[in-house]
Amino acid sequence: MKKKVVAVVCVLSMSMSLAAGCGNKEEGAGGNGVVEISFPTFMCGTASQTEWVKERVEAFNEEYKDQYKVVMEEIPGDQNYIDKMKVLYSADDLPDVIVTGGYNLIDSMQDKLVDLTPYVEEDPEWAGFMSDVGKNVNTRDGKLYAIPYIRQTIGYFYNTELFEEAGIEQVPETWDEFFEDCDKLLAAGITPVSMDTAESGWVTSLMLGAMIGDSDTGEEFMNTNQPDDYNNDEVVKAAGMIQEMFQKYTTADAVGGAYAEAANNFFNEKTAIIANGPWMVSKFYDTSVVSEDFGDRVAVATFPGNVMYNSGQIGWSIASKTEEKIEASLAFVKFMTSEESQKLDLEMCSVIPDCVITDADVYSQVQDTINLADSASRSINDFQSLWHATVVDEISVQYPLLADGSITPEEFAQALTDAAQ
Amino acid sequence: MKPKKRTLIVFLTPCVFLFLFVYLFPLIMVIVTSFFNWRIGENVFFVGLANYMKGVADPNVQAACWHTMIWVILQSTIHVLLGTVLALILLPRFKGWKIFRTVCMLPNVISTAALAMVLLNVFKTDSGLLNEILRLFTGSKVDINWYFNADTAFFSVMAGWLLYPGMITILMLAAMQSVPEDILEAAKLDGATSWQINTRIVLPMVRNTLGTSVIVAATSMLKEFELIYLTTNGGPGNATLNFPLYIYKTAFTENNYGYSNALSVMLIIIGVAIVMLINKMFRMDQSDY
Repeated sequence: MKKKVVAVVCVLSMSMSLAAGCGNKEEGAGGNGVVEISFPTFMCGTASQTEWVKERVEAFNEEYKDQYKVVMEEIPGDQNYIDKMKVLYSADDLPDVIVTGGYNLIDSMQDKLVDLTPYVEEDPEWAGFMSDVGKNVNTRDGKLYAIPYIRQTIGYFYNTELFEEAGIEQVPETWDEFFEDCDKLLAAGITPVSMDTAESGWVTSLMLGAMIGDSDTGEEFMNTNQPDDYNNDEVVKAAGMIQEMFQKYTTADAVGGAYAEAANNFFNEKTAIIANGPWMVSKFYDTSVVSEDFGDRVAVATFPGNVMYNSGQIGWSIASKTEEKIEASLAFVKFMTSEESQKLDLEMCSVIPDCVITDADVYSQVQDTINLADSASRSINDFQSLWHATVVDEISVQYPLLADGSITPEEFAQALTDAAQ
Repeated sequence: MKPKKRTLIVFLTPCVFLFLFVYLFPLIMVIVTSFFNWRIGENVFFVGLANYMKGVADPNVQAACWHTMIWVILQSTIHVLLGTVLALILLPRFKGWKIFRTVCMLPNVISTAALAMVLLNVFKTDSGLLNEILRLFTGSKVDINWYFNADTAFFSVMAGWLLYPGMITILMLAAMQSVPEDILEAAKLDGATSWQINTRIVLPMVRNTLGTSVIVAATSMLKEFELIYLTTNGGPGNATLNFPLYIYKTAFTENNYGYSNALSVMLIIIGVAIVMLINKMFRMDQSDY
């Protein structure tokens, strides 16, 4: 009899724990009246803004310890983060605060995001920090769905010493000059460009976008949100140039390699050029990664045609469902997008702020990037923010085919079109 | 109700609940939603068989289906054959056989992410292990990009699982060791050679386990995902795309859950058909002893 009682108790407790596991957790004000909000982030581990976000969340929790508490969940990898947000969106269980780091989730999730327009309008000081470009990127149908905090400015970095060795006296102004300089570098025994294909082929795709953006129609294309047709002269021509770069001007590990390999080749001075944003600059001075004085040998340039990636970026969104949580989330987002936080982000991570900051202590390449962006003839947006996620994914599997000549630039453009449609 | 029956019901309840919540309800959801247009940010509405019709005509589905079937066939034959041969080698329990058995299992116990990193370094162009070995034999530099060349990617990816039959070896070895000793002794007394004992007695007597091994090997290919995702991501082009990876891409990249679920139902049907076929081939409902 005793055994049966124990068995029944065991079965009941297991069934109840199962039922509890399937239950929906509703968080709210804790027993001490502190409102908790959830904030999953990809800014963790080796991500460039890890230290900044950690410091800012701790500072917020300290400053508002009697009112609010931000519960941070670390999700390594920005793509993993995006995938998780999509699953949570489908389950109608989005976290209170979302920041994607460039990926556009506003268009697909705006029905679950809080319209921040009235909250910004009632706080002119907060609204004053935001640039018009930043607000435009985060606005749909006149409603602001995310608060900008970053300006996307990207050119390319080059190794001045390797350029000198190859006899290159000034950075190329056209793509023809760029390829001539690549030939000079090759003749001097230097591999010209760092490239990659894995993940989204970030470094390579930045070059591709800059090549596309080197004309009026190309610039317009590189500022079009989610284009469906890539069968145009600009994309085909750019794909042809990328094919040539894969076949002649890059390292053997480029095809199949990820950003890390491309960056390492530049850090180890195996290559002379890499396209990337200013958040990379702090690594130029990290002697555990690069040789002594490496940072002094690196300069930044606009892409040929005086093209720069220069745009606003998707910022901080709120998906809270109750008034008290919206209030807490607003306080947090306001804190994270404040002038002080943006300045810290610039100084700690070399991330260009959305607002104008003049008194920050930054590396010379970061300031040069800002200056070049301000004076660039053509400003384009990056492919990861603009293009369909299916296209960004397709790029990585089409680049190897383009590289070994299995497909033509026209077929490459058609493959991207198929993925978009 | 008899006490024994009551106890049975009480103990089965958690299992039944688990099955209902973890498998059956989601499975029903997948089947039902496969008939709907269900995308993030769009209204959900009934589309009948449209997702299935799209799947049949989709060149990526055709490629994924073809690759999956080839891998299932190769895994069910070569992989199981390798595992069985290894089990037969280990059966006499020679000195050090346990170490050998552990070594066979190593690829199965390390994480797939770690294995993918190892394999990327083996197959990479520049200073990859395989190219270096080939260089030693040929005397000239070999720079084949095994994973990212359309001609070599398919077989390079396959090398990540085909040659590591540790699980099959363990299954078959356990079954072989349970063959009654008196039968083997009788065969030896009758003058049977080791080859004859293995092929005429041991293997036929472990037929059910062999069938199970083939099912394990075949179904592992129906759900293979991580290694492909972490090495080639289905590329170059769609040279290494399989069903699970394409289902993942349609769900999480394209955000087309309705279509993704239709593909999942197609995969389930293929899986059930394969398991039934293998059951039939190995007459697994019949026991020899």
